[in-house]
Amino acid sequence: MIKIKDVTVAYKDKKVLDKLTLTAEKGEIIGLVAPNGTGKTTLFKVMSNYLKPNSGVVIFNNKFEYKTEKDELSIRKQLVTFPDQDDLFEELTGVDHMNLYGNMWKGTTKHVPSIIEKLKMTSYVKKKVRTYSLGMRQRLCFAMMMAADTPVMLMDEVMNGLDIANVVLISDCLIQMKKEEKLIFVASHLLENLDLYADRVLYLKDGVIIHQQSLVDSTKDYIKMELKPDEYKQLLTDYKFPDDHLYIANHLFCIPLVHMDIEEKTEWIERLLVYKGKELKIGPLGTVENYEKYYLEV
Amino acid sequence: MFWKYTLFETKILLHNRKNWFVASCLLLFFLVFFINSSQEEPMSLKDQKREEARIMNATFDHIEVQREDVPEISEIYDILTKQSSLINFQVYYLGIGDDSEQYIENGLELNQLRLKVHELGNKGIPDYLITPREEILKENALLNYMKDHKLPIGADSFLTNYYFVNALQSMSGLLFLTIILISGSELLVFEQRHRTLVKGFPISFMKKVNAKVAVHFIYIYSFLLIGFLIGCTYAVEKLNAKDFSFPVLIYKTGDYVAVSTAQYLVFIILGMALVTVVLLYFSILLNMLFQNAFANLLVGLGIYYLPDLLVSAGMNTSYLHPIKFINIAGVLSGDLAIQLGNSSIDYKYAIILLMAVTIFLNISIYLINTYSYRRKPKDVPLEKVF
Repeated sequence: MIKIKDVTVAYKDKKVLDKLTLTAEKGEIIGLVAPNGTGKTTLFKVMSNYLKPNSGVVIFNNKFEYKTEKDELSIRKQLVTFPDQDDLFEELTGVDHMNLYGNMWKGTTKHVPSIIEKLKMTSYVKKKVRTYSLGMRQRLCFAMMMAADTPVMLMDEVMNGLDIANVVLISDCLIQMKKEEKLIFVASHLLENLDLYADRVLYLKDGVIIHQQSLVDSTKDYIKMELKPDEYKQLLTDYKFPDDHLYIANHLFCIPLVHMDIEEKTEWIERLLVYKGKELKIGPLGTVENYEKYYLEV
Repeated sequence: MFWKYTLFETKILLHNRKNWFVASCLLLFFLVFFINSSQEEPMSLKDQKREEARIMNATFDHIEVQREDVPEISEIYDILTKQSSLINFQVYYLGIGDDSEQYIENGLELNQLRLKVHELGNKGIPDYLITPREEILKENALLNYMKDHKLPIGADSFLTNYYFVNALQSMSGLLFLTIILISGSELLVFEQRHRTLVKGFPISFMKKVNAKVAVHFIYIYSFLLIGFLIGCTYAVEKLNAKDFSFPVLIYKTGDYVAVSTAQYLVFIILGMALVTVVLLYFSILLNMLFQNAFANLLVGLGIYYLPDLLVSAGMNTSYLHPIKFINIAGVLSGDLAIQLGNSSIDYKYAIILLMAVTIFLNISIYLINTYSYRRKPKDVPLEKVF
């Protein structure tokens, strides 16, 4: 559905995106993870043609590129981006905003009342935006995306300023939208939340995707346990470790199970049983663990 | 899509306080103008004729001494004597005599004599006492119009067009330009404050531009007309200015033609409609080039005065004349043709050129937008502004 090919965005000496290539298909939610200032928003800007990259192309449905206005319009009809809270019209109501997006993309506003109900916005949606709190504005921005109801959605920091209840509410909506075969890109700092609905999580660093984590068909399981550095050092001296074991961000010890037979697995579990009071987990690396692995490792 | 976007633009316009300020100015301008005009008494036709008689007497004083020596001056003196008599009769016909037909006949004869004096070279008459040729032709056109339309003449006959022509001349030109430049200063620029919200709309740039121009045109023009109607109501009720059949002079193909006040109003109102459209597209272009609301106003006013500046620098600026056609009242009165030294500048000429300017502006806007798709980034990526 979307192909990003060799996209480079560079400002003088600084490369924000460096020959980045990516393909995404409908019915996917793709998480985008990186610390601030590493190119998430830039990538979204390139995908929506707000920024023309130094090189590379974005191709929609193997057909349209941002070469002419006609092509751009064909793409725009299928794509909506998450608006900034600061860009909302203070003098208009929430309904006005949702109607605007409904009208511009779907040509109708019939579906707007059901979105209001779904996102529990009834109590405030008819008031002017200038009276809204941060969380209300964020919910409105998400509601506008739902009102546009396009096949492709780019959501930058969608969970910003939301309380837990609203994070859950929007996560449910995202799962529902995935079922409707939409392709959604979500850039978020709520890493654990991404595990709930994302199919893939992409880790950006130095302008390239350094890791692509599949949350759907992840086969690489680990034994995971929190260990202090001295405990880890002790283990290193006592036992022989597999080469691909991990000690993430000086606190999470992970041993891959992929090449172990059942006896070895049991042996390792028994070795770790001495650390009383600590939780031992078995499973793939989550978004938080990968984030720490790629961005917090010294 | 165009319609829905237009509705959105309308909503945004209605929520903008600046637009309400502009609307208030348009609503109140004519009313305030007429209230102000009512403070000063316009010179009645009778007083104008008495003034002419006084000028005539002063002319006699000057040439009386010379007529003995110079035969041409003697001839002029005889003509002036007839002129003086005709003027005095005109004063009589406006008052006790009460005879419009005779007033007009005398007026036409008077003007023929004045033109004859011009042909004789106005010998002996000081410059400040000579009635200019244009003035004679103007008055002739008015008198012929009244004769053809059998209009009764009275001391206050020209009151209606006096008020309306003055009011529209005050609005047309610089003031109207400033109002539209203020109103259109953020046509595109306001989108920068709501960039992530409005930038991705699936609507072509030209459709967006046309929707904005349409909405702003309807708003400016409606308030202009409503304001004018409010002013008219006041002028009709309080100033007794209700005779719309009396003539106003307009400049046409190097000559002055009289049209009824009603016809003049139609001309100027249609002309201002076209000027509004031109200035709104012009604002869009300035918004695209400078991306700044103040620049819209400053550059717009600067361009309006550019021909004057270049003329004072001794440069030929005939290609810039269409800028001045914004002052459509000046075009109609012929002032612009005289000021710019181009006798072909009349209403039809100005309207055709303003239409051409509208097309030129549209093409420029389209080309700049198309160019943004063809531009290749070099050292830095290119940010799409609108």
